[in-house]
Amino acid sequence: MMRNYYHILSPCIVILFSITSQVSAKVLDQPDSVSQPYSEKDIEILFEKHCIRCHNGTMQKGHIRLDNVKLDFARERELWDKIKEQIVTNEMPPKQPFLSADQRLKFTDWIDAQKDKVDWSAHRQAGHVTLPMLNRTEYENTVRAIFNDGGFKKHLTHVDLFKTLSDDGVGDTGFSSDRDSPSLAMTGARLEKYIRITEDVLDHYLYTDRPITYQAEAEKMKATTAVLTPTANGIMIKANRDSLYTRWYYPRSGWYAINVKAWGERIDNRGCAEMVIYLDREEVGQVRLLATRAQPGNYHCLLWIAKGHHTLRFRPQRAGMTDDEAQLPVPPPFPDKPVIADFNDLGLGTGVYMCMDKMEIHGPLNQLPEDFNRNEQYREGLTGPPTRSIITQQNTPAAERNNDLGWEKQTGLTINREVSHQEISSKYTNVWVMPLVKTDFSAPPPVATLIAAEGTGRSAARQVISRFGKKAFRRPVSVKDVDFFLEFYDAEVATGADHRAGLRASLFAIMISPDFFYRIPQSGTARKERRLDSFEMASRLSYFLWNSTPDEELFALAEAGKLTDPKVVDTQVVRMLKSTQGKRAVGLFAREWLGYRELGVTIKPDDALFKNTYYANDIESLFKEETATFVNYIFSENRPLEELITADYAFWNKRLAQYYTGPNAATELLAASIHGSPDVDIAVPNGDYTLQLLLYEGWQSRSADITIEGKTIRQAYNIFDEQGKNFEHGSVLRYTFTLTDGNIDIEFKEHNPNFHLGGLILTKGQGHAADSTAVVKSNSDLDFKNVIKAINFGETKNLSVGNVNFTAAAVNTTVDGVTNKAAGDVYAGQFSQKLPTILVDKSYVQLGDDLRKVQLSANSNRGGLLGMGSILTVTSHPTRTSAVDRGLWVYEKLFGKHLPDPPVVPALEQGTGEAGATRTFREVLEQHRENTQCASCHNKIDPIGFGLENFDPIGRWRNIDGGQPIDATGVLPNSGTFEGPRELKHRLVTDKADFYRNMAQTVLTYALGRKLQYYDRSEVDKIVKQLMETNGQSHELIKMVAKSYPFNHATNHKKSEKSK
Amino acid sequence: MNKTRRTILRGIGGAVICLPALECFGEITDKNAPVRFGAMFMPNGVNPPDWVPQGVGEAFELSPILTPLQKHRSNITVVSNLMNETSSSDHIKLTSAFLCGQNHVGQKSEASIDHLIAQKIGTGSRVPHLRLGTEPPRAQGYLTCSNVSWNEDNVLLAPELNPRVAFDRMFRDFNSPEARRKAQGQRSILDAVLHRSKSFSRDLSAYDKQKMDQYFSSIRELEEQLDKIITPPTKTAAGWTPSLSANETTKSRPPEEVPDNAEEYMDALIDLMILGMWTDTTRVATLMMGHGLSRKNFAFLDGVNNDHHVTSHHRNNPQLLKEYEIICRWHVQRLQRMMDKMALIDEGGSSLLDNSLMLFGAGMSQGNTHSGSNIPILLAGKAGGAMKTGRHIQTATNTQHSNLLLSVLQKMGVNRERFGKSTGTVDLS
Repeated sequence: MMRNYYHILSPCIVILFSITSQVSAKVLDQPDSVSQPYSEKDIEILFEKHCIRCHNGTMQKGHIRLDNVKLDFARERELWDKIKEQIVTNEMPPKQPFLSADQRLKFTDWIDAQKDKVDWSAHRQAGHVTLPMLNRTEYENTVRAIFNDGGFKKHLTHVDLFKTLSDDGVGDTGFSSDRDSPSLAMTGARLEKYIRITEDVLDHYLYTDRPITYQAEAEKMKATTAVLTPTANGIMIKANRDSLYTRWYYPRSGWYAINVKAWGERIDNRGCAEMVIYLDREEVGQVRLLATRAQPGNYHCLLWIAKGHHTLRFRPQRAGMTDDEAQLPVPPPFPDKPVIADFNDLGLGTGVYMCMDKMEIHGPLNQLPEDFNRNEQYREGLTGPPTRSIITQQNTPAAERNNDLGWEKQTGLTINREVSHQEISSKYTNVWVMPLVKTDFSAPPPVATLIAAEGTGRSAARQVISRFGKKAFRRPVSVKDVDFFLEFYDAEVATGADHRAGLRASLFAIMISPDFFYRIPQSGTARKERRLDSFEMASRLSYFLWNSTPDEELFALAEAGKLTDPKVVDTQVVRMLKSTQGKRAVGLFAREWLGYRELGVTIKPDDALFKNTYYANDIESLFKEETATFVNYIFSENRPLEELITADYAFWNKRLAQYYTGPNAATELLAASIHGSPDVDIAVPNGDYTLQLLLYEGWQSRSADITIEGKTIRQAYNIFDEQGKNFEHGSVLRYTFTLTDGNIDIEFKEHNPNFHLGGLILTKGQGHAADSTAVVKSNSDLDFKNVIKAINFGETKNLSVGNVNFTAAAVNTTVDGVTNKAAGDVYAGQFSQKLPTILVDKSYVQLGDDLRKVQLSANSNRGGLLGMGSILTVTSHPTRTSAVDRGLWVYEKLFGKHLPDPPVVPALEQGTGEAGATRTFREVLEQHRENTQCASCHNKIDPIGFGLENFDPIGRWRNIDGGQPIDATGVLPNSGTFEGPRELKHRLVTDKADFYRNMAQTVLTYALGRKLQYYDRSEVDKIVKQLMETNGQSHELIKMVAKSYPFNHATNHKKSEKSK
Repeated sequence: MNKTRRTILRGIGGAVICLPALECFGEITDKNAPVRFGAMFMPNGVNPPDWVPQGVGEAFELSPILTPLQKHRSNITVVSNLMNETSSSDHIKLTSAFLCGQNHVGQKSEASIDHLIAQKIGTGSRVPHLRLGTEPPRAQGYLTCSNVSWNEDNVLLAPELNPRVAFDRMFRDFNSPEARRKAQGQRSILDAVLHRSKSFSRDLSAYDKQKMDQYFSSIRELEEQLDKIITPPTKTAAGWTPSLSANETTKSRPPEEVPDNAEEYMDALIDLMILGMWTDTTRVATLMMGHGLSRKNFAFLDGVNNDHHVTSHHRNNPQLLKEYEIICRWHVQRLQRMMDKMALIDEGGSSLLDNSLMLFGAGMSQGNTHSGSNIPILLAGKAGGAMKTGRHIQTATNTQHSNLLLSVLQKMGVNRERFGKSTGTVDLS
């Protein structure tokens, strides 16, 4: 039944199609080698063959008619979108003849190309954003902003009041800003949590200027013994037997400072007293009481205590003393008499005693000592309330004899000028001694302080409510509303409560009002669309760039009506991106956009396989920090967006540098050794040679005499000493000689058992009979020229460093003419011995613990998102890499393209290839190309993944996988061949338009909190154009988004519908 | 309900269940322990040959996955041949339909049965509906399969992942005068705030009004809860009381950190469910044993080296099939442990297990193909005598799972004639 399908091309067509028209050059699309992109004629043929049989004038299956479809891609967009969708998901045609995968792709490409030609600006709309409810992050940030808590998680006085809130996940857009996310809904359970948190928040912040102080004279404290021995100066408690304790209620969580005035008494001369402090049942610290009755000590300690009832217990026990300490002035000990004469009256037996005078506890503290940050032990506190940590300090007696503590209230702590910095030996090796000093973190004063400054009474309450309300509701509070909230204050005060309790009631009401939880759109008078008012603009900006309520500057600009001025918006955008809050927000955006949010949550490398590497190093949090820091840099320093992919710099610290650049090979070389006195024979022709013996010690000091060719060239070579007296690096012993007997003989005569020989390199050399040793810090400390033999002893692994391939030689084997007769082998990392670190580039040695910008070498493969552990790990399977996943990640996340779902797939054949050899992973995946059904999609993504195969499942570099060298070559359609990640990255950005388009769409989606629709197309085009003209500077992207039409306008809400 | 129930009690295979102080011929008084409902969702399906028991009716053999329930054989009812909407589907649809009968992808669907049951029997409880889970929501489209509980406004009811938070919500002090005073204060504030809030929804679009309505219903829900604290419901002298009071639970308060060990974690959540039911703090509890597309790493189990999702896509590889079976059985072991404990709790002649009805299963059957046909479902507990247990019911091929859900609803006293895609009911009596 031939239909006159030429009707399709009736004059209703808006656009003419010509073969030479520009289909936007898409880097990743594949022009089929056989034919060109489809023409209209091709499309007609497809329609005729596959669609019109069922979708025509007579038979309109599914109420769809395609014989008269118009080529008006604006007006008929819904129909064309539907056509495209049905083709992409392969639902249509439902029966023979089907469309091949290739046809499907080209069909949809043609549709996209037609859409490209429409003038979309005529269709521009604001779109509708579903009533925005604050998500978990926004709620927390907003509350903190309201209470001036700028410290956030890095601040050590941070109290996590929000930890009971659940993770909301992300919506369909992939972002937590998605207002249509199903979990962003108010339920009774959620509101109950909010109320509980509001109570805690108000209890905490309203009273931070009122730390509590508890004091106790020792005799008033409870004791675990009925017998307390009071003396003139304090209570004597016998070691290893009794203790003193208090049980108090702590109304707020936080850091508390404890001061105990105590000293030790010895009634014999064996050892001294040590005071152990317990919080509830847990031991939190101990310090030896070296102070004496003549010079009592004030022991300060900082302790994290959670809100609630707690027991604080002080128990003395015996401890040892060094000889020096035993010489500290005490009354001379007499073995057979009590040390101190007056104790005779007390009838005390021999032993050590703690004598305590009084104890005071004060807190929670708003500020902590300067040196606090340096202590490793407290770092775990950075992401939440730390577990117990303690600093103890003993003041020099002279300064503190009459110390009456003298805590300063809200702003700081006592300055102790005469403290000596003494490390007191204690159980906690990282205990520091430091003065308690006033610190200034440049934070705004705590809210409680501001409130106190305003006085009490109704008019003060009115001021507080106005101020709070404005921040909470993101606009000035009307007089009517202030009166409303003031009623709660009045009611509370009428029952006899004080000013702050009254405020608490009003603020509680504010924080459970809907205009706090929701950013409620204003009504406006426009019929269709309206511009957002100033405060809505300020809110939009602050939640976009800070995930929080506007600050004073934004409010001021809003009040002055200046946020409609594009130049002002530009300035604010830059300011906001560069701020701390902005960086935090960009970090969150990056986590969600790039998908590494899942790392460690739902995607984890295998525990067993990577125990000693990924998990032992705790590299995961470093990965996340690295990527966040990098993306932040791009967006705060206005870098070109393409640097996201092609950056020639990175943000590393020492640990990360070692992880990335330390080729495992050299570290492995040294770490795997034969263990015991190896006896090595190398059969080679006579001549001049240089031997490099690689030695590493990760445990203790070991030495041996080293004899080569009968000559003891080193006596008592001490590996530990030679490698620098630390476990950081190995050493190499170099010996040049002339061989005359056809067999190089190497013997080690051990001085301590179990000498370690990691490997050897034999090169052609001059016959000088010279020897030298060197520490091996990087590859350049070894000589890899003219290598004849390279053997890795101990572990059976084939390693390569640079161009040199090391052959593995297990114990008692002969490999490549090298025989070793050792007893066993050992791998340093295996038994908690330290692993040596080898750096390719010596400059990384300078890095410390903080992430710093590092310029990468010219041929580095790191740099950009595709060289980062977070991305590489989150795109891998638990035990192996996935080239497909990585390729797909790049395709989707960086270029915003989507592939149709694969058809039901039979498994790829694993196992042996043609020659019977085991297939490499790449060879297995090449089967994708053999099947045309698979090839059309996989040709777009597999090559990208292959290009990244040098990165193993946990982001390390490798040259070999499964015993075969990695082949990282590939071809990208439209941009050519590449080899390795560096070249791949540059190919990917040859056509920037696609990349910019995806960036624009991604950021606009994130900013709006809804999916983009056809009517946003022209705005996206504008952003892309601007980026093309400004070399893709990141600030331009954000500025354009902030000034875009949908960001600045709202649909008259009565008429709007939910975006699809 | 009374007469039927009494009759059923008589009918159960000879065994006499003596409910406390129940006169077998009298009316049911509130001396009876209330019937509790629990739902447990297992992700990623099963390999049906390893799950479906041999034999139908009372003479059935426990399958390899079900062997841990040997001791409780007489207390379970395995139901097979149920189809979760369609025979071929995906994780998202199948999970969201597990308790709703109809999926929530792109459409509004039914509220889940646990929610409906909670509304019927849970309104007097401190926690009307306890929802627990072990995995956070996943990215993008998979958010919808992060849990199985939905309300009638198509709102996802999220599970609590932290045992301590869940515990505190159930058992923190409500009975002191201070708690009552605080509740009173809050109640009046909530009321006033609600009143002020009404004007906000005037100018909103229809869809946004729905969102605002969520806020209003939440406030009202909380007001009801506060009312219960302000004036605790008085118990009649002869009324049934739970054999463990909420005050005695303080020792069981979980630590702040979630356990690393998956088994410990799951068991801690299950213990909370039991504790809640035992103390009558809650009568309806739902446990998401994993996200609908769980990738939990099960290498901690002997003989398993992969994550859950990988084993479910076994492609008939014998090693993966074996691991899949071990993982599924592990889930059943968690149920077994729960049943062991519940069977020991005496509620005055009958055990907590006798007085409960638990629905355990997966939304998916064959994980390899995402099949929705013949999903693994079992019911445990006697529902206070309303269930005939100890058998394998094989329904007609591809009977809608909604039929079972409807039957469960009816057993729990929710008066519905249709539910989801139901075409009838399954006879559970």
